[in-house]
This record gives sequence, structure tokens and C-alpha cells, in this order.
Amino acid sequence: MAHTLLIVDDSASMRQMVSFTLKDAGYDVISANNGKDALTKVDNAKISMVITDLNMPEMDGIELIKQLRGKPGFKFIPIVMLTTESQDSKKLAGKQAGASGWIVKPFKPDQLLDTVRKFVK
Amino acid sequence: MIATTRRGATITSLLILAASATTIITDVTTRIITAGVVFACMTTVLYWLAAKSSRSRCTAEPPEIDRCETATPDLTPVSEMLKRSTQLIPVLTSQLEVVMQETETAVLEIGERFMEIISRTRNQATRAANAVGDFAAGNDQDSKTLVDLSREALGAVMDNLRSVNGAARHTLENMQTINSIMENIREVVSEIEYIADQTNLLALNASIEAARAGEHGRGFAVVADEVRKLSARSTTAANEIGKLIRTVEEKISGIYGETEKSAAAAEQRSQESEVIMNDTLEQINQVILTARSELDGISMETESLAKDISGIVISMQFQDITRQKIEHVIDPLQALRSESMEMLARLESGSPAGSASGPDSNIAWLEDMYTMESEREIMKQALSKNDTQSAAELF
Repeated sequence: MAHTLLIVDDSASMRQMVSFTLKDAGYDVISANNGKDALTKVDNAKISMVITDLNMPEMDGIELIKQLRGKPGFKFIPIVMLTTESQDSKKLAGKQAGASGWIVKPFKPDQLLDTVRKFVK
Repeated sequence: MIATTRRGATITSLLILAASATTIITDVTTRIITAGVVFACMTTVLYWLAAKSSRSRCTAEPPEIDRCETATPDLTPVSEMLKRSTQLIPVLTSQLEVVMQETETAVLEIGERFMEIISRTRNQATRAANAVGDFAAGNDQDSKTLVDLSREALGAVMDNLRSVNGAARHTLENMQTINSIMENIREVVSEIEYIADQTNLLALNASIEAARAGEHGRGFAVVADEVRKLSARSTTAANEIGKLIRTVEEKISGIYGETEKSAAAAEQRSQESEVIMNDTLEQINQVILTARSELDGISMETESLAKDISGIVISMQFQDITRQKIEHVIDPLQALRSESMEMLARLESGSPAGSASGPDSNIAWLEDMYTMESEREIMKQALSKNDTQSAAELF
């Protein structure tokens, strides 16, 4: 059975591209517009990995990670940030919140898939 | 002070002219961003003018102190200008938001179309592969190809032809056996003819001896005559049999010749058919091999095409990055509007000067808001350009 990945990004085109790349590689994908939307979608799905943007309306990526890490099923789920942000201070904030990795946009499909394969086997 | 005011007015007029000139820029996004930058410059100049007018009153020479304190410069045109400029901001930000939305919709649609193309191209390649696979080879090793099946079917036809030819040869052999039996019969008939002749001769001798015996041999003469008649009938019968044997032999010989001829022809046709069938199967095999090789090429080409199209879809990430860059123009524009409205309020209340956030705090704010290295790089370059413009050029 294919692994299910959760994609969180406020940009519809970005969700489309990430989703397209992952589906093409055989993964199932669930999409959410922001952190708040993501939290409503994780309870009924068996998520293997989360890929989230940083700056989003309603709830940003850092807050989402904090909330997810508070959930019993998400303590050890890999959560990778996919964002245009490349500042070390922001990366540190992400790491402290519980992020497992950081990819700077624009992403390369091979780079994204390599990262996913490192976490999801 | 008058000179400064005039210079400020000139710069402001030039900026207004520049703002008007942005309308000739055809690209909507560039035009809006340029207009935003011009507006920011205008606001800065107006700030500078307001601060200058206030500062000049405080730093004026003693003889001018009275005039300075008593003269209230007419700032109504500046207020009007500021008001008009402030009204521009929501228009500009709305335009930028529409540009973002339209670009995102277009990118989504293009992305969907491209993904559909990839999916359809792959489906076509799969269908073609399946179609050729039916002819060429099954998906697993146990399943037979169409060529294998044809070869088996044609092999069965050839076996049937060979068995027909074998039956013909068997018939010929049987005929040869019949011929040899007929030869035996002919010998038997010859023996019968010989016995009949001898019997006839014996009957003749018996008749002569009976005649010599006279009256006593009369009865024996009758018997001898009957024996002679039987011998004659035996000879006739043997002759008839001989004739019949010849007729049968002739018929068999005719049938044998025809059968032999047709069997030879059938044998030749079988061999020719086998050659034709093998050639045909070989040709079909070659066609299938060529088709399979072509298909492999098409599959590779399809995958390469799909990868290229995927690359195009992925490269449209520029839209998300552009959107964020535009958002990073909209937010400062809105902040500038708030500051301008505050300044307008101060101008209208007669206290234009005040502690506005300085350029350094603006820069820090921008730097914090920018997420991309490229944005920070552009800001650095723009700021250093400003510095070099103000510095003296040394030779």
C-alpha cells in the first residue's frame, strides 16, 4: 500500500506541483491550505510524512509543527518544511519546533523525492 | 529655504511625471511595481519637504526668527498631492492582487493541462505496448506469443499433410502387395492350365485305350470323354481368370501411377508450403521485432517527453515565488499608505513634523519580512546604488 503524505501550502499551484511530483512517484497525497486546515485533515488519515510551507495565513508552518508534535501519532512522523525562507534563524526556529528537514523553494523534483525516500521507506 | 522648496517641488513634479510615465510600461506587473516604487519615492520626498520646512523654521538665522515663527507656509498643495497619492495605493495593491490571482489561475490550468498531456501520452504508450505485447510476447514467461501459437498451428497443419502423404505411400505399398499376390494367382492359374492340359491329354489317352478295349471299354470311354470336357472347361475357366487378372493388374497399375503421381505432387506441395509458412512466420517475427524495437523507442521517447513536461510544470513554481515577491511589495505599500495618511493628518492639523519611523527601521522591517535571499540581495544592491549616487565620483 502506498504511503500517504500531507502537503500544506497556501499556494494552490505549489500544492499542485508537489502533489504531482509525489503522485508520479507512487505516493498518495492529502493537501491542506494552511496549518489550521491541515489539523482538520490528519485525524482520519494514516500520514507517513508532512511537507509544509512556513508562511501561511491562519496558522503558519512552525505553529502547525508544534501542534502536530503534541499529537500522539505525530511525535516521530517526519515533517519537512518547503519554503522560500532560507534564513538560518528561521531554520533554527523550525528545528526547535520539531521540523525534521528544510527544503528551500524552488524545489527540484529529484531533491524532494530523495528527501521523502530518506524518511519514508 | 526658498531654493530648497523649489528644488523639492521640482523633484516632486519629476516624480509625478515619472509616475505618469509608468503608464506607458506595457507589462502590468512591472508597471504596478514601478508605480509603487515611484510612490514610495514621492512619499519620501514629501516627508523630506515637510521635515525641511519644519527644520528651517527652527534653524533660521536670528533676523529671520520672527518671520520664521510668524510665517505659516501654505502646505495645502502638498496635502492635496499626498491625498491623491494615498488614494493610489489601494488601486495599486488591488491591481497586484488581481495579477497574482490571474497568474495563479493560469498556472493551475496550465499545470492541469500538462499533467493531462503526460497522462494521455503514457496511456497511449501503454496501449501500444499492450497491443504489440499480444503479438510479440506475453507479460510472463509462460504465456506464448502469437508467432509461437501460429508456428504451433502451422506445425499441426504440416503434420496433417504429412500423415495424408504417408497414407498415400501406404496405399501404394498395399497396391504393390496386391500386385505380387496377383502374380501368385497368375502362377496358380498357369498351374491349373497345365493340369487341365495334362488332364485333357490323359482323357485322350483313356479314350484311345477304351476304344482298344472294345465293348468292355465303352463305359470307360464315356468317363474319359467327361474328363476331357471338364479339362476343357478348366482351361476355359483358367483363361477367364487369366484375363481378369490382367484387367485387375492394368487397373491397379493405372491407380498406382495416379496415386504415385499425386502423392509426389502432394509431397512437393507440402515441402513448398512448409517453406512458405516458415518464411511468413519469419517475416511476421521480424515485423514484430521491429515493432517492439520501435515501441521501446517510443516508450523511451514518451518517458523523456513526460519528464520534459514535468520539468515545465515544476518550473511554474516561479508563480508562487512571484506571488510572494508581489506580496512583499503590497505590504510595504500598505504601510506607506498608513504612514502617508498619518502625515496627511499631521499636515492638516498644522503639525507636520514628528518622529516618523526612519529609513533604517524601514530597512530592518523589510529585511525581516523578506523570505528570499534574492529579495535581500536586491535590497542591498538598491541601497548601495543609492549610496554611490550620493557619493562624490573620484578620478
